Amino acid sequence: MSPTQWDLPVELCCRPMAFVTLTGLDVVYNAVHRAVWDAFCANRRADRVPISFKVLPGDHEYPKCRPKRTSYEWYIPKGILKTGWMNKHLNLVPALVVVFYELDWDEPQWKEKQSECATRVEIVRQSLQGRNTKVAVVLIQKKTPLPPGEDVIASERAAALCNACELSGKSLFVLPHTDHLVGYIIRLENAFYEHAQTYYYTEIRRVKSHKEFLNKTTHQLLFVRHQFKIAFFSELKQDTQNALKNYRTAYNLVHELRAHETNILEIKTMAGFINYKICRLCFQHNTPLDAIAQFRKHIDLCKKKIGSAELSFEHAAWMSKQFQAFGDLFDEAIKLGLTAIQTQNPGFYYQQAAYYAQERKQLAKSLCNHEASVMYPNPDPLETQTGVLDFYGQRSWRQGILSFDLSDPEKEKVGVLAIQLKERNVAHSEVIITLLSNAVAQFKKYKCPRMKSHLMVQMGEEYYYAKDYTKALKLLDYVMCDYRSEGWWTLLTSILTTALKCSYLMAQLKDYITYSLELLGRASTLKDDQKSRIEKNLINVLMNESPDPEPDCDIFAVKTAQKLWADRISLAGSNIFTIGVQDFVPFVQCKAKFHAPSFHVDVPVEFDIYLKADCPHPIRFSKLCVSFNNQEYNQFCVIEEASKANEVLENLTQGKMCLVPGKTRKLLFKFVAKTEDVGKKIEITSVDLALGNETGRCVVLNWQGGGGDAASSQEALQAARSFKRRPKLPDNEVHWDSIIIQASTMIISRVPNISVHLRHEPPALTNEMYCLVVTVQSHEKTQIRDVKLTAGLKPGQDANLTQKTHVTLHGTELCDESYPALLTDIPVGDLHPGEQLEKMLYVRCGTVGSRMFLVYVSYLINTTAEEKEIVCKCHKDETVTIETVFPFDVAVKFVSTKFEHLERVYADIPFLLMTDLLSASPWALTIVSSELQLAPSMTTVDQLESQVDNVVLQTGESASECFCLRCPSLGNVEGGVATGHYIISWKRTSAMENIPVIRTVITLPHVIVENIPLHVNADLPSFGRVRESLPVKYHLQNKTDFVQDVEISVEPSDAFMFSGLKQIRLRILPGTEQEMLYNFYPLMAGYQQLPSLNINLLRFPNFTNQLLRRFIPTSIFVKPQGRLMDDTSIAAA
Amino acid sequence: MLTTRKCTILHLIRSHILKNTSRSFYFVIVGHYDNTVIKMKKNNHDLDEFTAHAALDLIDENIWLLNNMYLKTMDKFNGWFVSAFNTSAMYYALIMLHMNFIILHDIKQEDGIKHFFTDVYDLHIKVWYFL
Repeated sequence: MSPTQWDLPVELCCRPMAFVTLTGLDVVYNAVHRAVWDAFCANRRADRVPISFKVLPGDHEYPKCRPKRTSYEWYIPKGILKTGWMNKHLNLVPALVVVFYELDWDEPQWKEKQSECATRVEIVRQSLQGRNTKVAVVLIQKKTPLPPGEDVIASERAAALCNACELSGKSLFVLPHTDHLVGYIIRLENAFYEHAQTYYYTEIRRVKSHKEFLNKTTHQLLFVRHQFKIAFFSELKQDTQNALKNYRTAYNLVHELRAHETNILEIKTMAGFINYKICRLCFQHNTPLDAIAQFRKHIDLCKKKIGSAELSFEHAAWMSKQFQAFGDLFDEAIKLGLTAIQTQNPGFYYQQAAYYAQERKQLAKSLCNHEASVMYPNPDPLETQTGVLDFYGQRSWRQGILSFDLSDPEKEKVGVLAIQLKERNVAHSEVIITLLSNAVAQFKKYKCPRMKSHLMVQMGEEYYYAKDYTKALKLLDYVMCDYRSEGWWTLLTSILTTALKCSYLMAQLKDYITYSLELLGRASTLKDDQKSRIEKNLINVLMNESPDPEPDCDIFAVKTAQKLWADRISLAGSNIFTIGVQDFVPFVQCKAKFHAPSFHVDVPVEFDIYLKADCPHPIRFSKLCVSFNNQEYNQFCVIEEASKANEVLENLTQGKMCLVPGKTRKLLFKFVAKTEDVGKKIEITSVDLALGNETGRCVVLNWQGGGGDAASSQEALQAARSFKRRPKLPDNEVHWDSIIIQASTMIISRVPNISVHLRHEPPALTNEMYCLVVTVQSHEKTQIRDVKLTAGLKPGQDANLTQKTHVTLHGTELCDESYPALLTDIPVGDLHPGEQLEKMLYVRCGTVGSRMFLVYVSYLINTTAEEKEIVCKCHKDETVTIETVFPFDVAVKFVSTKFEHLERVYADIPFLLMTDLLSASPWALTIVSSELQLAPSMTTVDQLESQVDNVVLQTGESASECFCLRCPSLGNVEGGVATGHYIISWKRTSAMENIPVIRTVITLPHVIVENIPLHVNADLPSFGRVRESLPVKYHLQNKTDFVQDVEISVEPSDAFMFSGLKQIRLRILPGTEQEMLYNFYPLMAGYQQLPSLNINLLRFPNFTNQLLRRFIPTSIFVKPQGRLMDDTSIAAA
Repeated sequence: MLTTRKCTILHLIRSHILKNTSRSFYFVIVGHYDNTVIKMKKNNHDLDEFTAHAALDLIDENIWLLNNMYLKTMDKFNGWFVSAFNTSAMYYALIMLHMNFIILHDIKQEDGIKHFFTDVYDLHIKVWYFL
């Protein structure tokens, strides 16, 4: 955009920097000079001093200084601030003029050169006559200078040069053209900066000195001017604190000026400038709150200063600019690191700027509505001789006139007219939209989505006014969803109304229809008469006619639109529009509801489509079709009526194709599901309702799923929460809110009419072939075909069970791992009505625990549904949980030959293995046989014959066996020695002959074998008799590889007398045996303790009598003397 | 379509507002889903509803920062003061009761508005429980 009258001048907005001119540099042809200039101006980073440099020729004419005023007594200022002043001090009048001159200290023609230099300085001085501008000389030298003080010639000549040029020593510099150019330049410019600061300081002093001559009555304007100048010079001096202070004073002084209609613009303009400077400096000083406070004060002070009513749009424009400028300053400060917050960000200022821009537009519209015949005045009152104004904010036709009276009302009138006519050409909408989009960007940044939406609505409306309907629609469409989803219907309606106008004016058919649909709907807050109008237009459009124009549209735009509509009508082409309703709230509501969550395949699937129109007049639809996830059903669910376009309004209340406002229409659909869909979900994917017909225009409303639009979920929620009692309706009508969408249903198989029974004798015993008898009986009225049985372990249980469960139909052979856990689809043929079949299943369970078994019977049957022959697959299943238990418990123990319990067995010494088999089965078991399989380390003492063959065990009964074994010495075996396996062959006593016998293998426990040094066994009769000799022979075997010293003693007993060695000490050689013979003579009858044999091994002190007692008997039964014997003894006597 | 509950609140509020404020105002109760529950206005147009709606941005942000329900005059827009009151500050758990009251008013009057809000809140709770 080109700068307008209201834009702040560039020289005001820039950061003032000390102005220094460089002369004597030939930057075009001299490479050295070029390098010097580049070092000054290229890559100026923030750490360099703020100076703006300019290269000027040595004889440049600087602006002339006006003669100093000696008295202000008769001086009347013509305005506050001259338009050229700021630019003059920024870009024209330097603080310092630097004369560059190539001169080495050892220059042979020194005198000539010195005077040339002096001349150059003189020329510059001449041009700056009357100004305080400093002059400095820089000598460009080829040689590196010696350190100060060492070069005598240099210091002499420098002094001479200073003298010749009338310079102080501080103003003469040397610039050696060597490698370190940039370093020298930086030092130079720091020196320049000091000079410049001194210059601006003197300037400030100079301006301040004028103050005393001023008086309050005639020089009010000068107070402001001087204060502004001081502040501006302070800024040039980079003394921002003082600048701010002075600007603040200036600001207060501006408001002290006497304001009148004629100078109000000037006051406001200056106030705006100073305010801008203050805010800018506040932000620069990182005191944003001060800036905001100043700006608020400024706005409060100025907003009522409207000035001339005829030009009030100027005030709005000015206000708008103030806000915009502040917004820009704020935004700039944020970019430099300031943090803004949600409630205080530039967006608000842009928004306010936009608001004033809108006001300006309104005012301009009402004030500048001159007729076309009014010509722009000639000569142009807004033209000035120079093309620019002398003072900021003055009227061009009365510049410098301070009188409050209008000296020339005619001239004034022409001037106002010129301004008004110019205002008419301003593209207001463009200004407003720019400001709004700035604001939108800010609100987006500061997380104010709703504020953003609000502004976007305004932007959209502005585009509408600017006749850019495409953009307007784009913006409105974007925000519509937000308002819709939050349910702010009034706002939505207002946006839709604008959008409808846009679409009408562009003759955008689809948009026009969409907006109409929604404006007629329940979300719209329009009055009924407006709705009627829109409905009429919609029907017109559907009949391929032009709609009536929307109210309050621009007349010219309407004319264009009517032409567009006429073109649309004549244009052949696609006239069918499909509109997805899930994103808006149309005037027809739809809900689909299946009658049940599931249907059997042999009964028809039924569902209702409920429709309700919210428009003011009845409307007729031409077609309703429902789509399913299985498209084959679509054909069954279509309602169509061949109606001509002109019939839409006729026969309104008749037929089901007509929707009466507020009444719920129910449409019943019915179809037979396919047998392939058994077990599948049937879903309504969409409902399409066609309005109009294909000969005219046709709109298809498309509901996804079972209906519902953008507002319905919220409504459903509110309805659910509401406690309101609904009024009673006639039986055939329903409350819309009470209808709950059910868009899917399951197709399930026909109810079976057979019975499945299971017969078995639980629990199952581990590893047995458990018999399960399945009985299937048909109760169907017709023959059932293809009966199939699936039986076995129910899937979905523990995976280990599958490994340990096997099912077979043949019970005569044992099944192994290769048999499955589930037998599937065993064909069992057909069944006539009432017929029954029996099937035996054998299950082998390898582990104990409970298992679920499934018996699933499926069959085919022919049946009819809705007079349609269908083949139904029915099935029935039974599950049974069967517990598996061990048939018996086997206990094994090791005992000594004396039946004493053994912890461990002794090598080479026989011991007994006792098995005890306890039936745990509730059913009688037959032990067919048993077998002991010995490990190689074990040997048997006698034959291993089963002692329990064909024994029948009832519950709780047990069968025991005993085997005598011996374990040869094996040395020390960790964890004991394997004994072997005990194998039991068994079956249920009740089981049939052909049922195989089950072999249950029991692993016998390991036994610890221990070596003993000496084994003693005794040979003695099984009983003794009183007073009869009882010979006892003890065998002592040395089991070691050493010669054993043995001490043997026999302790006497009361019950016996004995003969033999009572105490002896002997040696037994390794592996040999020593026999000890005793004759015991029992004295008493009964169970008597034998005289105990004590053995003491000298080498093995651990070998105790305790151990010994395990091997040799300690007691014996002594029978009394026999009667017969008695008789013979008597006889002998 | 208003439920009985809404009607009652509306009636009570109307009598209250008429008693308390005489200048123009725009009052809206906004529900948990940012939907308008009740709105009442006097001498204004759609623009004010836009303002009320936009004020929700500030409530959303400030609700977690403040402990009191009354959010004071949060905004000033087009000459309207925007004051708000958020019930969830006290009843985090009762989502049913989460409501925002927003009023746009043309005179700055912190105490009066605060009383008004407290009264409305009182009525709101009573109506909620006893109807």
